[in-house]
Amino acid sequence: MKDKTNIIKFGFAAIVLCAVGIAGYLFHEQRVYREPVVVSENITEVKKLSDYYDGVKGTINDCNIYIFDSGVPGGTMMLMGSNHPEEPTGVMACNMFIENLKVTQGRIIVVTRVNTSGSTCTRPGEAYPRYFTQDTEWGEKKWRMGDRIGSPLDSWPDPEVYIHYPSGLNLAYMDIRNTNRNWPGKPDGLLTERTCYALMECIRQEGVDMTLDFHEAELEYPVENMIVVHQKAADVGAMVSMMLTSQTFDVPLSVDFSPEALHGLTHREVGDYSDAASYLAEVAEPMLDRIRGITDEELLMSGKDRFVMEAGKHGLLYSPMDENGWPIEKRVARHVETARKIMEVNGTVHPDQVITFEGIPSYQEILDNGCGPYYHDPSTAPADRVFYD
Amino acid sequence: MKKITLAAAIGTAALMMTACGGGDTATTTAAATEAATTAATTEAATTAAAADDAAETEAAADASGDASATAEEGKITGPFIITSCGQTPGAVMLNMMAQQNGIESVADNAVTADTFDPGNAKTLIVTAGTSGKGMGAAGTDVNAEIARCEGVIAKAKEAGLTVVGAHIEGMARRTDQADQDSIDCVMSNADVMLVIDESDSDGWFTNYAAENGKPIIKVKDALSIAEVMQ
Repeated sequence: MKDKTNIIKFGFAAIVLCAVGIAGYLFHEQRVYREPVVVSENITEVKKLSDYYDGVKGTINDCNIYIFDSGVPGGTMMLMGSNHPEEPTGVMACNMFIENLKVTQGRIIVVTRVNTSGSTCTRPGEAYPRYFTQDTEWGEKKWRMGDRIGSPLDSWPDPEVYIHYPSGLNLAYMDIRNTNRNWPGKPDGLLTERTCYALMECIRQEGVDMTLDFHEAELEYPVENMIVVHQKAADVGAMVSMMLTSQTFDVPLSVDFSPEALHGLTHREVGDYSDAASYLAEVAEPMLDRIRGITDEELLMSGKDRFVMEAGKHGLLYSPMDENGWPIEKRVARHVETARKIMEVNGTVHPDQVITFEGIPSYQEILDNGCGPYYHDPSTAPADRVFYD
Repeated sequence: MKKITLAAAIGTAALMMTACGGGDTATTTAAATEAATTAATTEAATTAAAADDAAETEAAADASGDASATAEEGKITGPFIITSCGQTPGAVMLNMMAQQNGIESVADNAVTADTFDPGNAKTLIVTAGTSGKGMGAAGTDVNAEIARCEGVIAKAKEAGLTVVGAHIEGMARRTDQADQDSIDCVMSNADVMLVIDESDSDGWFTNYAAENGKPIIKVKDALSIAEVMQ
């Protein structure tokens, strides 16, 4: 009888060890995977975030800062992706800029992975795919799918109550690992606070005139297909919204002002704590909806889900949703075009901040061609043009 | 000086729109204006025809004086004072469109009955629909916004201004009861209604205008509003 009990115990132990081993391997594989990016031949410099504040040196969030300087006086724009790593169009749009950009006046700075830590694991209980891929003519380009917040492996434990610095606003405890609740950062804080502080230092030291933070949102959320702008960017934001809605996008791009009492977000704090005008762009991502069906890479990339579509028929969504869904190329195209239009309009309102550039596909070109043609093969690119995020 | 610079900049932006394939803006402005005017006139006629009591509609239109005449021409007349009943960017958008047309205009989402100064303005435009972010930023709510705008509208009417109720930000500003409360306040007090096609995609504003005998100007989108400003 005792022998039989021991056999059962050993059996269970073996199963548990197997499960732990497999899970551990998969976690480790995602954590150490690095995303290759083939930078445009017109890039000026690739710096590290710790070059602006050494409090992040040696941490996983010491990300690359890609700088394109035309050498011609003008404005400076910073593009930010993966502030929320579970919203993948940000990193895809940033990569599209990094791999193809030629700035002819002013400067463009790109930060692909604002919260690298959050891109090394997915959200618990959501069954997200660990990676997502884009077909190209040379093979698959592969990125890490992430969580909304940083990994507890990099910042743990969370405080009982997260009190935002310096506003004193009480926020949910886990938001201490949410980069878009930690701006303008805290130099002696936890990892996410230090990361935001370092990025603010980058913005201040580089004299950035405007920032655009790429996001995605569930269709059940009212801040959808929208740019949220700091008050100092109200004129430009309104014009960008009207122009893109009228001339380019099939689904309107709304505009709203950044709430002055809601702290920690880029559209509020970057504008308040630097000379830059801050923008945040949202686009629909059905995979983030609570009512979605099977959660896999297919849903992430196609943006098609019959359950979300059904919710739309009942008026439960803040974005249109039909059988065409929200495919990745449309979501990326909206972000890329929004960035372009902000720079165009801002240059007319602020003639000393003109930025002109070439090499980036138009909204229609991305819709027609998909994203694939705009990413390059790292295996055949010169080694000095391949960087890893 | 700042206003002149901004106006010049927006003018440049308008030219740029043409340059980047913005729907042949420059060449179609006249046609678009004509279309907008036609649409507005048609809407006014439709409104009148749809009204159950034609005499009542006529009386209401007469009561609005210049506003009715303006609406029948499909135009709103500046200089403008613009505010938003719900702290949305709608007032900023209209202000930019006015300046693009070279029309004197001021956008003020904080104006109250006490601070309202009509100056040489001919028209008060109040945009309807609310922004939770905007109201949060301003430390207000929809009830306070309604009270503020009703006070401003009363002062404007005392000063002889035409009051235009506008809904120009589409269905994004028709999502909840706060939006509807704002719309009800603004449109019930308006002499003329100004809406974009998306806002009226379910015909709500057209029906409201018909039922209440109000002239309505409909334009394709927010960027087209410049074409009905004079």
